Amino acid sequence: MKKIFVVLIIITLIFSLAGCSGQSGDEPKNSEPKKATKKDYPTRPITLIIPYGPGGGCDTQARILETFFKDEFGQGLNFVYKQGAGGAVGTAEAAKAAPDGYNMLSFGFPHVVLFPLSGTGKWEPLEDFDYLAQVASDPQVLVVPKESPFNTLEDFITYAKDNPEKVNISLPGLYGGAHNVQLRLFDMAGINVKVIPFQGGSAQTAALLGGEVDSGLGNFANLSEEIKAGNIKALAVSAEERRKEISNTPTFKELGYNIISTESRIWMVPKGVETKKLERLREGIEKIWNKPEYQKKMIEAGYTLDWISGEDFEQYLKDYEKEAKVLLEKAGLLKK
Amino acid sequence: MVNTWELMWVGLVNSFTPYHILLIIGGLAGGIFVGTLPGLAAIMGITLMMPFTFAMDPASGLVMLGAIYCGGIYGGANASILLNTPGTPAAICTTFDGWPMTKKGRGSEALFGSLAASVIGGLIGTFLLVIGFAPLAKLSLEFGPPEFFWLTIFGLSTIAAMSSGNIVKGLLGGAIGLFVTTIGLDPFQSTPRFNFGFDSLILGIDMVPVVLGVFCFAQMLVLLETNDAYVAEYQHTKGVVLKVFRKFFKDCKINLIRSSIIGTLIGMLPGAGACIASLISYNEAKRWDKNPGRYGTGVMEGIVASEAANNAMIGGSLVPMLALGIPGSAIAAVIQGGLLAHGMRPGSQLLLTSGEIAYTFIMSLILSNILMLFVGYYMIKLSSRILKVPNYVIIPTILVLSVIGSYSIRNSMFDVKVMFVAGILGYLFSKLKIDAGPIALGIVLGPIAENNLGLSLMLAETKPSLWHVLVFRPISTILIVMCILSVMTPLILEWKNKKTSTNQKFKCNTSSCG
Repeated sequence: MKKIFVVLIIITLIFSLAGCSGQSGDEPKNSEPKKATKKDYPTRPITLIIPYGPGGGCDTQARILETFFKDEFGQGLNFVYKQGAGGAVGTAEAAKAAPDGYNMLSFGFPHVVLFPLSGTGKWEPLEDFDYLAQVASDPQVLVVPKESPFNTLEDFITYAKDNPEKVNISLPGLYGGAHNVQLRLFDMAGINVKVIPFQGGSAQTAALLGGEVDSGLGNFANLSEEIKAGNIKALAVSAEERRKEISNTPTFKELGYNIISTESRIWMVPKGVETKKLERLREGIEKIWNKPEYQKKMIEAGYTLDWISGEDFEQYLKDYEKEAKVLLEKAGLLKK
Repeated sequence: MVNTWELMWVGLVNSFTPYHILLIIGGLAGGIFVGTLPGLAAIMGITLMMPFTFAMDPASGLVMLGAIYCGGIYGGANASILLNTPGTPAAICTTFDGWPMTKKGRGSEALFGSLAASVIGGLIGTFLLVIGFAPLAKLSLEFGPPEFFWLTIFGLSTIAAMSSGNIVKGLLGGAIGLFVTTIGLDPFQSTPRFNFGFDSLILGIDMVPVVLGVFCFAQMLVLLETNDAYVAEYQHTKGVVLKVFRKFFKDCKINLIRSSIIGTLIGMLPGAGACIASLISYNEAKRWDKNPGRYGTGVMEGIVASEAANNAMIGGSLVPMLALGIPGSAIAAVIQGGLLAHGMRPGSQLLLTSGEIAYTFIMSLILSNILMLFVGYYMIKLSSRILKVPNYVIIPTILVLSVIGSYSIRNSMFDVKVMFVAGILGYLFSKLKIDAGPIALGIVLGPIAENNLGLSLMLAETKPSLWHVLVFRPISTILIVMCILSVMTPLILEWKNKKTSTNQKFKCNTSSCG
């Protein structure tokens, strides 16, 4: 009896382990269907890696795109969540996935550039990925709690100058859009403020609402509801023009600090995907993006639509990377 | 001005449609099923069903997600009681008293007790959600990083009360759990720690594979040890329902209320989930009981404390999610994603812009909890048949489910390896009488404690002193006092016990006694 037992256990374990693949792609490189012609692509669902947990900002916009994906491409998306290190873990794995056109990643900018430069991410933005598109972007807002004595950006900067290291500023995380704004602002204004990185926008918002921190730089999408409700005060926004939802908040540019910064949602594939497939993906996503129903859903969910095509985005990245290296080096955060 | 009473009425009417009732029953059944299977956690059920809800209209989609949430959190108790393997991390504490009851042949009592406790806990949690929406959300904001830190220390201090018998071994278990959480990337600088150069260890050790390993895999090893053909004997007891209700009414009233309130409050705190809620509730029940020694031997009170708290957590976790857009638990975060995808913005404006849908969702939870009593009862009849399945089928099945469950967290074989290692170590530790409970507690609370301590220290740099941040805050002070009491109480009790026993010895020496 015991023998059957043991054998059964071993057999079941072997089968279960075999069923779990160690790769992030659905199938390894060499098992592509032999009959696949470029016209038939995609012939099976595409694996989409989300380097965060389910339900967050990245997941939600991906889910919205997914509702249109099958109609456009004929196949669906398989969501795979690989969270860790603020998105670094999943993205590093996606960089190593098979470039067979069946692996995609949705991540964020400037994270894709700042993570590797600071040593937090193990990939090269331009050498490891081909970009499909930027679909949405969000400016950052400098906010303070409701009871804060600061009412304008100047108040904040003046106080910070007079009291170095006595004020703190919260960020939703490091090496994202908010961190980008913080580095530039501190550099331009010459202030020394203690930076407190939280684990995610929700934690930061809770701290701001509770008056735990003196100030914060966060994404417009996360904070706009609370700003509109009057629970948080917005001092400046890092966009080209004022946002109509918070029309009383001046832009950094207006106030003399030329900081235009966004945090955006980007879609990419590991580098090396066949040109025809890459073009098909880029074209398909552009079609989805242009659909009014897609745009409506994104706006309702709080995203700001902002299209940059894959090729244009690669150029945008190249330009930004140079700037970013200088910025990080000044702050002493550049990886040695 | 929004008329809340009107919204509640509309919500209630909306959730009573036949379509919604059907969705709720389906969601409950699916949720309980997923929850019962060890390895499949409630959050997976919700993430899987999410895309389907996009095809439905917002209210119906949310109603179904809510039902899956309730069923999933409750369902774990079935596996805990029948197999001593928690179906979800929320049901870890239910194993402490559920399994001994099964071994004593009182399995059906335990099963129905956990169902009833979950329903009552869920109802109380939802009730608090309905009436206390805004003020409770404000309360949750009073908890800043220092308060969270002290809350985790309080949770850890309950280890002392948990490990009756050997406090040192309990603390050792907790310390091991805490240590394991430091492996990986440091939360603030992302510096790799304890990874010995292995890239895979940078991922850190996730709680779920460890829980699956320590509670499920190790339990299977224990079962292998025994030569039994079956897990335990199943006795069908007649009149179980009435018996349980009578017991509840007689002994468990305060327990139910206290556990539900603890569950709701902890659910409200972002980041603290069902596992922590049930652990703290179990310990509080034990602490306030006249005879704490019986906990762990198979008493209904233990099951009640654990199950009422983890279902009450559901209502609590939705409070900050709906009112502030800050999810109170990982599942609430997924539901929030669902809300956003439907174009509803949680936050102060939710009631103004989508009040009807929001309240349909909230009121449907009441309906879900009530219907859970019936759906759950039927599922109990099904799941209790597990005891009739011989060990040589159960053990491989649970092993496979544990492997699948560990892999599915991050699609990573590394987590499966963690599960195996944790399982073997857990098995060895149990031989040394180091209980798994404190280890699990250490692993769950570790990241929260470290993150909030770090944030508190950083906040302190711009305040007059560290004391101001960590101690001179009203809620922090209360929590610190509770920590001290929590650690002192078992020590004082032990000292008292020693005194009375030496007194008795003395008395015995001077008078005639055997």
